[in-house]
Amino acid sequence: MENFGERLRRLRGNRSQRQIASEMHIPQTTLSTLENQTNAPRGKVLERLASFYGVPLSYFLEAGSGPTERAREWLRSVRDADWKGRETVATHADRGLDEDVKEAIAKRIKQKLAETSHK
Amino acid sequence: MQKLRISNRPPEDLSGEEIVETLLEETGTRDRLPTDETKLLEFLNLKQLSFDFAQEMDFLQELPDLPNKLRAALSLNDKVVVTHSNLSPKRCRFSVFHEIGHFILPEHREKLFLDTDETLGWWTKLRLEQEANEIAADFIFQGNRFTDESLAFPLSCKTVHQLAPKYGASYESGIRRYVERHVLPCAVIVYDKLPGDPEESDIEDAQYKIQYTVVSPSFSKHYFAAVESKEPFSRGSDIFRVHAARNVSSIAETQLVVERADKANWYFETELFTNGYKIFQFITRPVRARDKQA
Repeated sequence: MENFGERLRRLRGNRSQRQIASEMHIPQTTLSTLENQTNAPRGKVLERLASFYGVPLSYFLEAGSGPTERAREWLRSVRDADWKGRETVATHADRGLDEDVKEAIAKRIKQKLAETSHK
Repeated sequence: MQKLRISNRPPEDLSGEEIVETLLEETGTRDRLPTDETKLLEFLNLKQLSFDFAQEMDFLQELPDLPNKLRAALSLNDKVVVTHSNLSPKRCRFSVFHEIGHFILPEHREKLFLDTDETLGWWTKLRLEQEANEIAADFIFQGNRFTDESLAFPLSCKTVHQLAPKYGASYESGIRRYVERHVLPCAVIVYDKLPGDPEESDIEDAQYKIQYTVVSPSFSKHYFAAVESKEPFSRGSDIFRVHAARNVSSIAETQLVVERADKANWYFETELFTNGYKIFQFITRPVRARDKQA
């Protein structure tokens, strides 16, 4: 995961620190320090950087979600669960389908599965 | 070494992003491109079946515009994802990821398989479908990976042309994702062909209309969220510079003027390209932010 300084540096692209510092009216040494910082500064400095580059504050603060034990448990539970509910389907379609059509699709799928397993 | 963090939230509070990240990690598909949908199906104990919906489900013929508008279905009882055999490989892959989304999102299992049309409002159904689409895109682009990778390249549609094939994504979904998540101000206007007379499909007679606009959050904040045009775009319009182009890498650079509510104009440098069906106009910051009309 990129740290704050790396994300800030990326926004500068091919432009020099001197050029950006001049446009932001801050000393070049300040910009250099910020680009080498691991953690994001708080308050006005961060707001000014976000405003200058036209990015949301969250760009500098995002930590990313990442895998979690809770999600892992959930995925295992849905994988192992034996679902016995109504004969219906969830669909990916360009229009909504009535319940009776979805039930008919579910039944046809069951038949096709049976045919496939007999082959 | 794998690192996980403790979370005590109930499953209903799990975010889609968190579930996607965990599934990619669990299946060993993270950072392996394009994302292998068969590994996700295998991990989730889901079978995949493909057949011609038109041939095999004749009851669909009685419904207008079906079965070709039905792309895929998920049966929880049988743990199977079924796809229409007429789908292109990219569309098929997206549909499989979409159905996996319904399978793994906690709320979807309850609402789509326990509720009925009578208890589930159309607005909720629409939201669930959009969420499944977002999950599908998250699998294809591996969460923020595509976005993070794209930041190392110049702000240009060329970046999408370079990266989209690597992710197994279409250029259209690639440019959408690129713009939607970019931290810098950028936008894309998508033009679709107006339906013409199939008997007179002269390439010169084609007309386009704006189908949709996608903007990055910072672009929306500083400029606009969408544009419109009362007239269709015909031959002579700038966008026709790529109309007959044979591949996406034929990029035409043009200027675009967008009129503001206060009658001043924004002048944008743009990049035009086509995927053979639609025309895409990629926009970054305006060259001149304001230019009062004389």
